[in-house]
Amino acid sequence: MQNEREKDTPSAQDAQEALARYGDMLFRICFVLLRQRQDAEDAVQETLIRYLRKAPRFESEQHEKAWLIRVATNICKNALRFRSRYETVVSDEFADSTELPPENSEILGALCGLPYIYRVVLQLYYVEGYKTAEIAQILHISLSAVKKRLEKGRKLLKEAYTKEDLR
Amino acid sequence: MKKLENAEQNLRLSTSARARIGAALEAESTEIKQDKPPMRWAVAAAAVVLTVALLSVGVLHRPSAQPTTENTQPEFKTAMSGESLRLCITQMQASGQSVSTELSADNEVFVEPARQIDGNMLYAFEALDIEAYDRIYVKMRGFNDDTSPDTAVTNSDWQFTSSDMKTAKEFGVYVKTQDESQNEPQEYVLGYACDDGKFYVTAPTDGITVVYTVTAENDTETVSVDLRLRAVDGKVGVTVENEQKFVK
Repeated sequence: MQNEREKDTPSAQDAQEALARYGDMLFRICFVLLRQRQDAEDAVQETLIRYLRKAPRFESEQHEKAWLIRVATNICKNALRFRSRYETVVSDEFADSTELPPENSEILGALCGLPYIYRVVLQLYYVEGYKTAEIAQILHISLSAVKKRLEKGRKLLKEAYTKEDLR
Repeated sequence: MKKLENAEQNLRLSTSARARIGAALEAESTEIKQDKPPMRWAVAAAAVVLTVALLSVGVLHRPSAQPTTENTQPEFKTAMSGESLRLCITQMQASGQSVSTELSADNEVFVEPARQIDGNMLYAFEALDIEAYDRIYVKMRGFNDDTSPDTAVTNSDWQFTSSDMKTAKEFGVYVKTQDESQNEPQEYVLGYACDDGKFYVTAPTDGITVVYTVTAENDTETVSVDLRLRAVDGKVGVTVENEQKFVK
């Protein structure tokens, strides 16, 4: 679907539509990367505000979606960098969460325990259904880097999940 | 992996979060529409206030001598591999000169407040995740205080590409000064520290141009570069400690 913008800037309605279409997807990504619900919600909000402010011109719906993911992952990275710099204490969302069934907490906890570079690639590949070439484009990394991260990420996730399972 | 996919289906924005974000977008949209012209005035007014404040505390030097049209400030260019780029630029504050610096990555512009170190301005930018950007630009403009940035006497444009960063095997520090108008002795001390904790110091240079490269050894995970620049006369002096980490 072509989504060429005719206006100078997207309206609040455009952003609201993006929120409706991509809000949950962006939240999943941000939640896995940040491991905190409140921070993830803030990251989604910030992503959509940038969408509104920057008024990018998209070639397609797919392009728009990829742009939003890229911006969201950048925002999450910045937030993680801020946390590490100021040593923010991050609560264990999964341990406290009453919203997720225990079996979900385990697999999500295992995923969230992985280093950032594996989390983001696994998330985009297995949950959002992107192909390796598309992930390379979105994250601006090489195809071989995506494949390597997927391979190692799978291995690490399996190990982490097995450990969680044994507890 | 199916389990993961199923688990994540339960991760959704709550109704309250959705409403909050929707309201924030509405407010942002209204602000964009209404506040554009006043914002420019606000920024201009803030710039004037900031300039006056900096002048009053002596951060910006009033021209005490005839402003020179020569380039009297050293330029720092640092680049690193890994996932992030930190760029520190300092200027040796020449009498009657100021500098404006801007860093942008693709279409995003990052301008962070400058910090004052030993009477000199240090601009530190973290260009975030370099892999997420195609190109990172740095613009540095030296200009006389009694003119405007539009009449710059120094123009330095640096560009880094993400592919440069990803393929870089070396960490390069480039220091250049053309402070010949001062005609006073200067000493430059450049060094770097590796994982072993040793601090390696390069030989003092002639103070004109230094090109200094650190190559990460195979068994070295990180290389920290501590860049110190010092002028021995104490008048034009500046000491900058610029630690960089090169992660293989």
